[in-house]
Amino acid sequence: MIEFENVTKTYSDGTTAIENISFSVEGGTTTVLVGPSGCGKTTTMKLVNRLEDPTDGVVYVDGTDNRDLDEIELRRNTGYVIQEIGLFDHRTVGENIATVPELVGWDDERIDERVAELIDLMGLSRDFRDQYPMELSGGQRQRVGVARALAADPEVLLMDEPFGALDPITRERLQNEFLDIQERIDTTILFVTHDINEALKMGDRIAIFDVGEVVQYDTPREILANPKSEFVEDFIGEDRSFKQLDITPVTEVMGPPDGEYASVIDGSDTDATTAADGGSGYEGKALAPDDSVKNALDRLLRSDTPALPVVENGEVIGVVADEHIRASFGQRSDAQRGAA
Amino acid sequence: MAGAIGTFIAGMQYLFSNFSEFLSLLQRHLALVFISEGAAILIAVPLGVIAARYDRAKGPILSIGNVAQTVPPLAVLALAFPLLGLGYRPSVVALFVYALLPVLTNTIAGIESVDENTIDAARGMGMTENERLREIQLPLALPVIFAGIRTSTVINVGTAYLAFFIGGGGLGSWVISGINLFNMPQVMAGAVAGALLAITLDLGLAAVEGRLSDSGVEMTQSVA
Repeated sequence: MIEFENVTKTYSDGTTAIENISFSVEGGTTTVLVGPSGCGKTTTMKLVNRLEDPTDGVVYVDGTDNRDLDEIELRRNTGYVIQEIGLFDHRTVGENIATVPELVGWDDERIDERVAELIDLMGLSRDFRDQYPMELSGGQRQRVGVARALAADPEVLLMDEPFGALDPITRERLQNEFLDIQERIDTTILFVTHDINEALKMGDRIAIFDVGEVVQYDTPREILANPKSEFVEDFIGEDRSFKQLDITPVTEVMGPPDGEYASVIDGSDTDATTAADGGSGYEGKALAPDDSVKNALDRLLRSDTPALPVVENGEVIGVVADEHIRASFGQRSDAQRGAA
Repeated sequence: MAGAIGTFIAGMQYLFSNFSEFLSLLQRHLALVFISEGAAILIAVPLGVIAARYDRAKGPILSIGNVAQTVPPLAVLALAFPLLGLGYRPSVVALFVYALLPVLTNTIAGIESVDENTIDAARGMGMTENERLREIQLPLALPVIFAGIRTSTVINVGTAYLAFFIGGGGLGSWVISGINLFNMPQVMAGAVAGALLAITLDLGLAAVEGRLSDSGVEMTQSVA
């Protein structure tokens, strides 16, 4: 749990990076700080592990004013990943990952096990352990960077544009891998990015920054559904509906499997579902429960059927058709109007 | 040309016919170089670390090194004489002063050239200032520091000839008294020996330096 209470940071040259910011980050969740460059998001993150101290206000880490904590200890308890990675080139991958455990004095056996575990967790080959950072690709280096930050099981993980310097394909792969990892660890994560799409994808909650202020702090869905200001709306971009579709799982819009599309789904209507492949018979057409509505729409547009089944463990649990998607949007915009 | 070759051969003949004297001069020369250089390293590296760490100390420290270097070596020796007298010890001190700057500047440059992001990461992970220095900055700066030591050592071999002027001995005895007596074979013998010494030390230190900068970066090429 991290709380910012009326925090202001003014640098010695007189520039104010952030002004009177208050919000709290729940333990075990991922909060993304997003905004244009120079909006103070990185400064805000650095206040957590005291790479910066606030000029005014208090940052609480687990209820304690973090200026009452020893800064070295606080940092060792806080993972830190930066865009430029900052691996130690004179040390092997294994030694890099072992940095914080070494600093806090774990015994060799424990360090050894932990390093192996992290190399596996990050999907790196074990051969990398004895190689030097210069021998790795950008994506592999950032995997090592994340592993190094997680090494001593920190309670808080700070990530400053961790995937910003990677090519789009590698970036997406690392984002997905990290989402997986995120589910397996109960670390409180503070993630800084300037990319709204990344924010929507990675965050449980998002704090949108505009020159030194948090202009909206909400869940991704709430931000997409109810942007609080024109700035937020502009920042999200013109394709807000698509972004909403992208983060809504199909299970939320789907209709019952025995409704009006039953004939489409039971196979009497289409060739694809009659394939005697021994499985569900929906190969290539079925949606998984965690597929996004955007995904469903894409497949609907490309397919010759009016509806697609949602299949979980070989069983049809629902059906998605054009009208379901539309209907869910209708509701939402009604709710929006009602709220306004 | 033929004259030069003749002088060279005469020089080598001079060297071998006075071999035991040559050995004692060489020994003295090596002692001058190694002791002054060793002391210079012991002082310049920590000074460089301090200068790199505290901006305010950097100016004064660098100017001391610069002054020591801009005064001609002969003048440094001449200045050592009224202060410290004649002989071996004042020579070592003078050579020490003269050897400081290359080690000092390279130590500062080496530490400052360590990537800022690497330092940022180390800081963010909770390394204290001393841990950062010991475990990150110094190891990464080592190849550059060592290059400074190498430069300084090679210059030192040449400068040590001048120690003869204040009674410091070394290969300068043959070269300088040879010039005064117009004994060209003697000059040649002393000069060639010093040149070979400088080249040998340079190659030896280059090999160590190469190994230092390779470690960790060995297989970069195979990936790139």
